[in-house]
Amino acid sequence: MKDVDINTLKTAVDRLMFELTDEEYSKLLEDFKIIMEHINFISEIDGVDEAEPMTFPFEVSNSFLREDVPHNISTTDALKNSNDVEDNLIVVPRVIK
Amino acid sequence: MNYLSKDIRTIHNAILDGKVTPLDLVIEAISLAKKDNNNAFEYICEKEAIQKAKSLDKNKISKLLYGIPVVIKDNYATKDIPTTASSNILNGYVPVFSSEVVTRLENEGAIVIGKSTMDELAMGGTGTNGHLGITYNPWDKSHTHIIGGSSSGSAASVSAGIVPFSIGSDTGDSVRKPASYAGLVGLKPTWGRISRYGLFPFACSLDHVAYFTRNVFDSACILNVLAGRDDKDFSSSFKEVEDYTKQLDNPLLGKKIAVIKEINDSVSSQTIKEQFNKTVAFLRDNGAVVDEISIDQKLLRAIYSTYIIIASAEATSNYASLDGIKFGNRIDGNSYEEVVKKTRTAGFSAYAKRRFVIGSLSLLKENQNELFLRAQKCRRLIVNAFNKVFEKYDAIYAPASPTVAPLIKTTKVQIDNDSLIADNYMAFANLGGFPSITIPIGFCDGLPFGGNLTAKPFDESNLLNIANELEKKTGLANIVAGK
Repeated sequence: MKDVDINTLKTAVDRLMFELTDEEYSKLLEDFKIIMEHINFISEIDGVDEAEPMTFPFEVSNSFLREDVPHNISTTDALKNSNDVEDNLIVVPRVIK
Repeated sequence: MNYLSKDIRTIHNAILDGKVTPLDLVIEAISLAKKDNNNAFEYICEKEAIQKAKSLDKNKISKLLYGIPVVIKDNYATKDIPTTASSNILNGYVPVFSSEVVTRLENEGAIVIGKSTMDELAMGGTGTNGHLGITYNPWDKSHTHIIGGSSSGSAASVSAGIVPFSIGSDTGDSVRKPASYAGLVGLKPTWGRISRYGLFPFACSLDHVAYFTRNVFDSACILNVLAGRDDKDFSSSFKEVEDYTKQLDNPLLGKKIAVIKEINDSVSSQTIKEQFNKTVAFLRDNGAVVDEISIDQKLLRAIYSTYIIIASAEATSNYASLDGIKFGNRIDGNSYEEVVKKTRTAGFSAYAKRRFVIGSLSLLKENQNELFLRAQKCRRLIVNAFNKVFEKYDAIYAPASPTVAPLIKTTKVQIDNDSLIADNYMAFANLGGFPSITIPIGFCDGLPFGGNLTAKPFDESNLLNIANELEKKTGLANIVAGK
């Protein structure tokens, strides 16, 4: 893997849709030196690249699909946690201008 | 008499005998929660809890949890009660439903008296990075030591004698490590044993419901209530639920227990080493076969990085929903993108953002093979190594932490570069979904420390049995700070 530099971090941060200050970026670069040391521990392990990736703790096979159970919440409940609501719709800034 | 510093069974018997009522208990718990100086609470449910105590169905008085106050970590949805996961991005969020864990506890008569502080969004192991600041360790009146995290407030509330049990969550060791620092029993059952419906997803392949009690018997009782299939959580298991109290007092004769040399070698505290060895001697004296075995040091050293890559990648994806649009603390802007960006910039701490960046980088197409995929492959090798141990042994036993609770000033709010195996190994039980329990085994300079037992999936009865027998020897059941 190529070295993590400030531009790589900026790309990642942009994809995550938040911003960092210059100070936070330099702290993050420092952190990544440590993180990369840790990550190297993984590549030192014999046979790691031949192993099957593990996505869950153990195999669970459910050979069925459950019946759909209708579960409705009221419009009021569905909207009560959004801070800008009008006519039962969540208001966001205009997308197409 | 203060019943709240007792164990659940003692309080239950006092209710049955008419010595105390659920309302007395709730009023006392709320009074103690209000006086709490350890920063254990996000929200105290005063009105809600008193009303519940007054309206309990008296026909349920024989249920063990009838009228018992409980504290819930703030990453569990609680209907009509604010839930923030200690993150500014969720300030003002009030769930419209309750998590399955809360529903099951309330059906048994338990009364939620508060939501507890935690490391933001359950990311962290120190109890220092939630939006309300540091949660303190009740064993340390000078407030210089951490209690650990991420389930920090849940640990503090039981340890300080406010409630007899509390719910946390455990994705790396977030209940079992603070249990060690707080002198509590902390159980993380098998992955799938307890429904996670309503627990904010952080890293779905590693997240577990877990909880704190003051003794092993109470831990088994709570598992009896919480275990079992829930159709609302597709990862919850159909496996039969046992009565987990039944085998608690079985003799240890013939049990096979492994201690891992590489973990013990990396424990820095001499007192912990010596006390741990005493407990090993007890296990042997009572008929258990205890062998010291080895696991490849390289694999043990890789547990932390494997965990951090997988957990961060899954968190990046799960927490993408926190955009301030549908719920949460929205900050306005001129475009949809600007709203999301401003909201997420202001809403997450620097620590959470750093974890998301690790996740995002490891998921980038050009890095995926070397980071995320390789971590998943390493996970397989780590879990295989431990499964091999469980082919021969009933349990693995090790110190739950290499030291007592560290000083706050030495705890960095960043990714920990401490490569000590003993400080990070417990995440193997999350990688493999193994049931795992921490119990107190000793004290050093007035601070408690624990031992950790882990067993094969769905072998909770065996695990609790060994823990219970060990607890009888340590004499450290039902300890409360300052009592």
